[in-house]
Amino acid sequence: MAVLIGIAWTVSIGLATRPLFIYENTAGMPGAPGSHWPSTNLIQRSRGKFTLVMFAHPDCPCTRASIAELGMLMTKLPGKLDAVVEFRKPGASERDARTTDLWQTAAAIPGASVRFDNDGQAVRAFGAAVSGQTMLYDREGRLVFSGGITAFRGHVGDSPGADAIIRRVSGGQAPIRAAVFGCSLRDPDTQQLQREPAWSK
Amino acid sequence: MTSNPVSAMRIASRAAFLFEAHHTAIYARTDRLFAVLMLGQWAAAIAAALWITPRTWAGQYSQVHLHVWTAVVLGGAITLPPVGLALLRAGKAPVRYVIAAGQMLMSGLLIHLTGGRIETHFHIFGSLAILAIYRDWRVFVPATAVAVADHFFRGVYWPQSIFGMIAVTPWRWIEHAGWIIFENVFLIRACQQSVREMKDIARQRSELEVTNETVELKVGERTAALEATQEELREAKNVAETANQAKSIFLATMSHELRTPLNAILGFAELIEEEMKDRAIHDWDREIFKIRRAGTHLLALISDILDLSKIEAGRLELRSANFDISALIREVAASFEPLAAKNRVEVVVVSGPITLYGDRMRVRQCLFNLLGNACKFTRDGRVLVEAAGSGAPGEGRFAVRVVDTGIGISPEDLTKLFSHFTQLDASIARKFGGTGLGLSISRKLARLMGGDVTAESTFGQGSTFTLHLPLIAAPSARAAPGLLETSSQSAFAEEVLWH
Repeated sequence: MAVLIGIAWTVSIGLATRPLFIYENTAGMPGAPGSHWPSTNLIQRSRGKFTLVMFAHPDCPCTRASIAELGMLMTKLPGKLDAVVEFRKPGASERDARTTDLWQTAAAIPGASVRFDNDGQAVRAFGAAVSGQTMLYDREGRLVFSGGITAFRGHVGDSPGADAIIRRVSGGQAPIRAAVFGCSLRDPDTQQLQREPAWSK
Repeated sequence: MTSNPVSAMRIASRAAFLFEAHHTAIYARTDRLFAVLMLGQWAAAIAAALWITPRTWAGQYSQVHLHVWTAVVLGGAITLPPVGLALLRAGKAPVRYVIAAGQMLMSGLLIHLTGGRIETHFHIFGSLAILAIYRDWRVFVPATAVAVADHFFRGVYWPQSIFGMIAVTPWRWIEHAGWIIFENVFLIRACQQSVREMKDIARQRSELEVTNETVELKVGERTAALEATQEELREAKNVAETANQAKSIFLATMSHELRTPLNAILGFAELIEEEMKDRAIHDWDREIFKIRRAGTHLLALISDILDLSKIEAGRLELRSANFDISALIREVAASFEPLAAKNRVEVVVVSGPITLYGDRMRVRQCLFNLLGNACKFTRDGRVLVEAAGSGAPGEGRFAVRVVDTGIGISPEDLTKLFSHFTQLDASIARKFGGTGLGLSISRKLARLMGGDVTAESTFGQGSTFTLHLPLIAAPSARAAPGLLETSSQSAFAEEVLWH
């Protein structure tokens, strides 16, 4: 009897991880990036190199894994692309963002520059929606990849997105889209705030 | 240790009990250790979630991250049942199996909360090592089953969460399970070794306890037997003392009753001898002499027995007074002049005038015996009598040494010299006469006076008998100046009494 109770308890614990599994596997909104580099001077595109733009929420814990994966990518593809990490948090200032560990980690990546999207223009211009969303443009400014570079929410390691970027930069073919796992860069709408009262400023 | 089957069974039974008690104590202690550890892990999981993933964001809005709720709720579901069991049913087998499973579930949760970090996998191996404290290899069964199942299911359906990779072979969980089993092999072996050692210790302790019990039992039996023997001895001694006292009283009475008619016989024999001498009749001289000699011997024997009886009955009273020991020695020596002359013995006395305080009659009796023996057992030789003292009255000693060049005594005979009625050779009694009580009485008298009589001898060359006496301070009322004189104060003179 004790053995059965023990097994039941163990299995219950296993089943109780299901919401966690679902949460970790639920991707964010894909956003609506254009097929070419947007006509804006907010971010400078590299000439003769691939340009990677990652949008990040400075307080999103899931994005810690995305920035870590970006560091891995820049190490694997030295000199072949320039990267820009564009931080965005509505209502926050650049000074607030600079104090976060994500900013400091991203700034330390070789070949990567860090910016703060103060009024959300860059987010809108590039059609980004979720923290960790990464867009890769080729030498001609064409969008060749848009999506996340982690396979799950907040987990480092291999991912289809990172794999696609490496193949694209190396001249190969790869899927242009991948799921993004991270916090939303935009405020919830009124309906969502009503539906999920746990949200607070 | 023991060949007794009953003892062997007791040792085995006691050893099994001690081992079980020891192991159960270890189980309970380790259960409580894990209770504390698991509560700490739970707190650490919540702290890690609050530190790494405190909130999830949507623009400027945020809410508590699911990881925090997972750490609180799922961590609690993993922690509380085993902790509750550990506190309520510590030491029971199911408790440690639940703890083992719970520990592995906590490993899975921690690995997930830290984003599948490889470092957190060490929690599994550390937990297995801590489980070994139970010294029960069975705890590794649920622990391994949970860890392997976790790796299997997550490896197949959610590899990123446990291996940090997406594209993994479906058999990768076997590699992880292999490492867990690899560690288990050595931990199980360590547990078995430890259990063997615990059993050895329990057996040794059991043997020690049984041995102690046996020894205590035997000591008790021997003590009881000894006490019984002592009681018997006490009773026997009392009986013997009572009998001896009765004998002494009887002998004292009988000696007195015997001496009266014997004195009459001797008196009448003397009268007859004188009457015969007056009438010049010599036909019965030899017979009358035999009657007187036999009577005199019998009288001496009765006197000795009487003395001995009085001493043993504690009825002999000493009558102390001041006397000149030197004069006493010369007086005693003079009484043996005929015997010395007969045996051609030179008697030499070396002593100055010394005044002692004591029972003159009993000292005389001792000297009479010692000097008499010396003259009796020496032929064509010399008897030397030396008197000397040393020390202050109350502390000092006085000794009279009687040294002869007689027949001597063998070492084995020296040991029985002072026993009652002991004459070393039956022929001695016939040749030299005597009752065999003289030395025994002398020693008893000397001891009664606080001294002793000792003997040294070389067989065939002679003997030395010494009368030791204490120097007793005379009572002040009777003391006179120079009452006690020691050898250092005395002017000694050597005097050859006769040749």
